[in-house]
Amino acid sequence: MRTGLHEVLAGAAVLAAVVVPPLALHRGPAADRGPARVVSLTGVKKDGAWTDEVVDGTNYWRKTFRSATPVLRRGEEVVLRLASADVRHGFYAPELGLGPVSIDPGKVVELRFRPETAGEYTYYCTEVCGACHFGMRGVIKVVEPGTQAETTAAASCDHAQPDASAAPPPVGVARGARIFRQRGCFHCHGEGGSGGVHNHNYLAGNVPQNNLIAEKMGLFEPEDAQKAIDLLVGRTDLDAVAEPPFRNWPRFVAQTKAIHALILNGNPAGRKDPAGPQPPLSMPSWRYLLSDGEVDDTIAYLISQYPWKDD
Amino acid sequence: MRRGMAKAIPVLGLLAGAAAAVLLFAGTDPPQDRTITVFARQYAYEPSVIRANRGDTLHVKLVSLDVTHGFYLEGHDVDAAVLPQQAKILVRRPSQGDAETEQDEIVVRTDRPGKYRYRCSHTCGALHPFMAGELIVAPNHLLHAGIGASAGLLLGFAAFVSRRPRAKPEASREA
Amino acid sequence: MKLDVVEAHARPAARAPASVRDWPGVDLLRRVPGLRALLRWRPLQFWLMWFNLAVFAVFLYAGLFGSPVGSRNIIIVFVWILWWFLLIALLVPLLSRFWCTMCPLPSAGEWLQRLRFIGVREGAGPGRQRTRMFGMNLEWPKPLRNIWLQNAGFLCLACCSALLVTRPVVSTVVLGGMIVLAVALSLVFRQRAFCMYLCPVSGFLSLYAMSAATAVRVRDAELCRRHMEKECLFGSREGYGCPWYQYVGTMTRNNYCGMCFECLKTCPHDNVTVYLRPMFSDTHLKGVDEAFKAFIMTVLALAYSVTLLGPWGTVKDWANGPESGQWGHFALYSAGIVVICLGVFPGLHLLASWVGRRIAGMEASLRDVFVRYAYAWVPVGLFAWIAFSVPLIAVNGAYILSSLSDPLGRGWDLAGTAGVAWHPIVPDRVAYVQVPLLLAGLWFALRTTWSLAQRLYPDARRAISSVLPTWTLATGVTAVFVFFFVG
Repeated sequence: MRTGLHEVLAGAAVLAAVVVPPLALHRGPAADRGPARVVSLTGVKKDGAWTDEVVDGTNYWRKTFRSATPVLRRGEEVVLRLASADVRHGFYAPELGLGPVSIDPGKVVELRFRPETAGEYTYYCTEVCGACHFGMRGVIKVVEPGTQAETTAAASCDHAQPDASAAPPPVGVARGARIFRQRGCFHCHGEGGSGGVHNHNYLAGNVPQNNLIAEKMGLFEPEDAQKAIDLLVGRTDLDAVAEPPFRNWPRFVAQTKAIHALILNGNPAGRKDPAGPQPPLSMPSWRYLLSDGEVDDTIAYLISQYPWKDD
Repeated sequence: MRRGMAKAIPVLGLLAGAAAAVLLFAGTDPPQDRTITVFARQYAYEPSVIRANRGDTLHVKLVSLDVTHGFYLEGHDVDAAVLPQQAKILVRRPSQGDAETEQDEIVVRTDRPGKYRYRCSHTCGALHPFMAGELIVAPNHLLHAGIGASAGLLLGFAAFVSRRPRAKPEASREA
Repeated sequence: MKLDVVEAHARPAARAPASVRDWPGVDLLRRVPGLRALLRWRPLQFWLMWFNLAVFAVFLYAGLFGSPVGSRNIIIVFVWILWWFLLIALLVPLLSRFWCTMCPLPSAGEWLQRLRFIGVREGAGPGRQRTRMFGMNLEWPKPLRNIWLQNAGFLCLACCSALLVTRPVVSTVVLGGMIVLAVALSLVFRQRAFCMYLCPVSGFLSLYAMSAATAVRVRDAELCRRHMEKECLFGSREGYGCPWYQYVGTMTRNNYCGMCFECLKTCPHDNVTVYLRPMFSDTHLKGVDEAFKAFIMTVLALAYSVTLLGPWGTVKDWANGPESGQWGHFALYSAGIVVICLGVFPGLHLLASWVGRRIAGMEASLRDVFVRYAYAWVPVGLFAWIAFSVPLIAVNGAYILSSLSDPLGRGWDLAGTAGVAWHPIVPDRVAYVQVPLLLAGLWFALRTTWSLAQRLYPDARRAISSVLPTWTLATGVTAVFVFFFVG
């Protein structure tokens, strides 16, 4: 009877139904990019990383991703495929002239370029994408054809703790220190504000150093600095202080207000060369993310970080 | 014939209930000019519900507290991208394509009453498709009509079945 | 002929109507040319299932290896937006359990049992079956021949709905798990045990199939009474005995008919047909488990609306416990849903039933009143679910086009529609569709419970007073839904 043939055909159809679609999806459509080298980077919010691994349902939630270090050969044509696994990220590599571009989840942005000069070029995420954003950067290495380069693993984002923690944060310098760490300020300003990272085409070259603000405020003695810290932590209304507790009081008050406003409002980084690219790192606005008290604690912390010389 | 007309009683009840409710609650406060700051976070807006009156002018400032969110206000041809930690928002008019302008705020004129949701228009994580807030512009006629209609339908149907003769009704051939 | 209850898992008819149908119906197999031949064509069900199997293969792959972003992954968009909307708004109200005809979940298991994809293996089967079946072919345990397991299963899924409908990998695991379970059960129990007693989808399909405008029934029940061979039940060379353990000769409801049309093929007297009939013609709930299914689905329509469509971030955080980190609140949220579904809402209905019975007269038992009048929640719940689903399509329907071209969210453009931007379709007018839907649900609830009341209390005045509290509750619930969607 024809039943046998029907069954065989049906069986073949079932096999095809189960095998062909996954295989076809696995292969994907033929992408004709010519001889160009393809580098794929996917932004992952939870780790603040641009990974070159494929991010999908099997690994997104359980794996810790780190930013990749693509190694390119000078002069070769490169297609950079940028994707996001979760939220909108920004990609910018100013020294290579790549970006800034926004990458929405599910959409892939392709950038074609040809690196002309060997070197190490930093790439950044330029749209705040969560607690790990400020450390979301990596390095693209361009080497002479024929040479090798080692790729070092980028740091992971381990500083961003959930805000609701067991112990209430102690008000004061300790809380300021915690904010400076958890919010990722150190990524740009250095540990303890000790020195900033390079900011391409920025007026001052590097991201400003924060731990010298005591000097900027005119606090030339450790005792003055301590008094200033106490005033800030005690949330004293500086304008209502009748008797200036130390010299340079007006300078201190003005500088405190200016720094407070800068933290709350942010500030776009000025260009050193007006015709050059926009610097990748600008001071963001913390107005809605930090209370006035938290800002004061952070300023107090930075004052406390001044490297007093031992006499 | 009478039975056919009687079948209209529940429908009449529904319509009467709707009309009564709409007329009863048609009053509204005089229009105002207000400024509202709407905070966006994964996965909700704060305030989640904005109540306004017909004719109000709302100056809506948008702030994101974590990642890039969108603000797509139904029925008002406005869609904004709200980037975190910066002052400006990127606004476009969906009817006019993808061109974006940088603005400090969105001005919304609530000329039509009803409920308009503001939805997130930039994928912001897992629950993104369900991230929405509500702008409710009084007088919310449809709400009043709907509730009035429900009550009217109940009363109309009860009246309809009550008018049946006292003798045993035939079993369930009633359509 | 006394039916061996082992073969048919029929519920005892509390007060079986004289004929298997007491509503006007259009005999579709006689009216629609070619329909009879189509439904009697054995390969039909196979090819329908095959198509969905291929589609599922795409979905399962995408869930694992596609983008973790739900709105950019075909499994989320096609299952929880497109399929869900089509199922609840079109397929069920019009075509009863036609999804079960083509569902791929039990396909592998069924083909294994039959050792055939399409054909029939005649011979001595389990019990009095006349078709040979592979596997242990155990009978489903009697204490479990109800939908309590499905109630529990659906509640579990509902508590995790925020995860299930947003994370592709969760959908893959759940759907894949159901396939595995279906296959395993197929090897242990006779025929469609998974579909009948475990599948969460089957749970609510069984309830809302009662609303459907189509129904598989016999033309002449008297003919069935005189016909001894009962091929519809035991199978023949033309087809299998009902995989859903139903006996179509006395089947009066759509609930457990999976529309496989085996009975249509096996009946030697061509006595089985598909009727077109008024909606909500099946009005009898038989059992507290079915009543509770009605309660659960109505409450869940509200719970899903509040959690997913509502503006309240706190509720979403609680429902999204695994991501928000609020596990304690997640437990609280789940417990709340369970308590309202199984306690609060049934309690309200019990109160309404109790009050109605007190006023009208005690000759009807409380259980009778409670179960029968629970039918009110079938139309209210169905239309609430449809009203919930309309904004899903209107707001997020554009993703259907984009995910068709980019199923894995990798930036492909297979059909040229990947660039379709998200744009809601007149979202501010959706409420004008939702309110009439909710009112339609209330209308059907009033009408159907009125006819049920008249059967319980032949005196018109007592019938009204018995059902009035339930009507008031139904109106209140409808008003709550209106208020939620529109206010």
